[in-house]
Amino acid sequence: MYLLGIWARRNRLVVVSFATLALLATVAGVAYSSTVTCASALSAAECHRFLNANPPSTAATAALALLPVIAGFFFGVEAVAREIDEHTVAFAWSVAGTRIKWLAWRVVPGLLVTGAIALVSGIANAVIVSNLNPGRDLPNSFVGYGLWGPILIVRAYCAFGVGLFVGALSGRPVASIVLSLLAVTALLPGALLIGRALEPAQVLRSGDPRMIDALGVGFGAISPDGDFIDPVQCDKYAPPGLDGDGLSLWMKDNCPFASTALLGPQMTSVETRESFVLALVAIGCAGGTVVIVAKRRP
Amino acid sequence: MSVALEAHGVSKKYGRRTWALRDVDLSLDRGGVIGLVGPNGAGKSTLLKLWVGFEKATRGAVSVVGLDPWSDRRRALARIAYLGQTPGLYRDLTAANHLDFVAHYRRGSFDRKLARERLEELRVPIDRKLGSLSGGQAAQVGLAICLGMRADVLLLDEPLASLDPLARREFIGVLTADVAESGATAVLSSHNVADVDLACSRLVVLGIGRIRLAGDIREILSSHRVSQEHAPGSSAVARLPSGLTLFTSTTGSVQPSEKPTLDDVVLGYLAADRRVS
Repeated sequence: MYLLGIWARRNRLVVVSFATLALLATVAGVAYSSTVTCASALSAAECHRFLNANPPSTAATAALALLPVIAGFFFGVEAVAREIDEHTVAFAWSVAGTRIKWLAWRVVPGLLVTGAIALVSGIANAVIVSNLNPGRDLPNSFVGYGLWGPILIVRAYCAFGVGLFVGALSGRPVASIVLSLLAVTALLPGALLIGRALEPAQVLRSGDPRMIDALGVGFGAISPDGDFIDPVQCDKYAPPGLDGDGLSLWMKDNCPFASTALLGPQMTSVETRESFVLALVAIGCAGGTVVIVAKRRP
Repeated sequence: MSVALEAHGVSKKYGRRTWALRDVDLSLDRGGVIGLVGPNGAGKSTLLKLWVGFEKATRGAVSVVGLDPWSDRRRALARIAYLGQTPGLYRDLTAANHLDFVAHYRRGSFDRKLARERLEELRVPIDRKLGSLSGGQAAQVGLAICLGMRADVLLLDEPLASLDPLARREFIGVLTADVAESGATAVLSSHNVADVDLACSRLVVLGIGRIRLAGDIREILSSHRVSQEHAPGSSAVARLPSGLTLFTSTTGSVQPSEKPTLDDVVLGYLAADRRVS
């Protein structure tokens, strides 16, 4: 508990800054998303588009989704790289006895703060996304996927782990933040790809009402045989002699546009798989950091 | 008398070619302050870092009170207090915070009251952040912490470098008094032979990674002489800048000339090293 106080004293300014930003974004986003409403004449899809086009709400949503990741980077890099950079590790390691004990002191408070920021952001964004998408069952919908809920905590911890590992390796805070940022920028879309890779996609015709909750993964057309094809291949099915406008009209009538998509209820399993990949990366980075810290020269 | 610090055939290489230490054999008995002297790059800091377990020897083995500081780090560190070349304290914490920090990790052994008393003796403000203190005051905070640890072995890597002459005297006074009282062993690395002469009873001279001279300071002084000429029955160590030649007595019966100062002896060995390199 005492060391937590020392950690807080050393990071007071940054913790207060992150907390203030999270609070401001939460208040602004929730307040604004609660006040905007759709005109009664709008359909559900139009209402969805209208509400999501409200910049103040979307800016708050984006800020709340990014803030935990940035906090993760910062506190992860800060944990080891800052101490190496400021040459305080020799003193700390000689006093602490085991470096693992020291590492725990450096890591645990940062994890707690990062987790708290991610939790607040996840809940706030769930409220905002829910306000902006009235009538949607969010746990069974890809609407606002990745912007709310526990995935924000996992992402933040993944950023923390990567920052921690790169920081321990390089011992340079600024370079570590840049390198971690690049690594996580590549990692997040990769994890989403893996998350959805094993999910069977459905073909949905344009205008299918399930599309609003779905996550589109491909775009094409449905051939006269009922197959999902690339729209440019539709002309193979056209009667001979058709070309120009005639062919275009025939294709429009006989090869309607469609998407391959994951349906709303598949959201939970995609999110779980994505979280699992990110958690594995975080755990791997933590293990790597333990090895580096145990062997590293101060 | 039992051994506090040992090095057996220790070599340490950095990178592919740079040897910081070569075949160092050293055994230091417990008790007292031991001076570790040598020019820049002689390997003083490396030797201290091997003993504190921050580095692993490329060849050979080191031990601290019989423990291997690399493989048995936790138990060895519990017996060591280390003060680095830059004290490495937290700039945004006060001296009092540092005492609490150390007390947390060394719950059973850290004597916070003693450390606080030493800080007061050295007139270091205890409630000011270290970032606002001078380098010398930070070193004094480091010393107070080391003394408060009540460790068997204190490894002090050039702690006097940033102190003014008066503060150096005070530092040495506090260190020697505490070491004499506790029976601990302190290794004080320094460039300044006068400080070592004042603080230490034993001396180790390192040059280009090798031990050049080690022993009791009084014995070292009595076994060396300086004169204008090479004396028969003795071996010349080096020509000193004063124009005199430093000798070591090989027969014990040689009376070439005057007694050297510790500065003459250390300088002689370092000058000999320079000629070789």
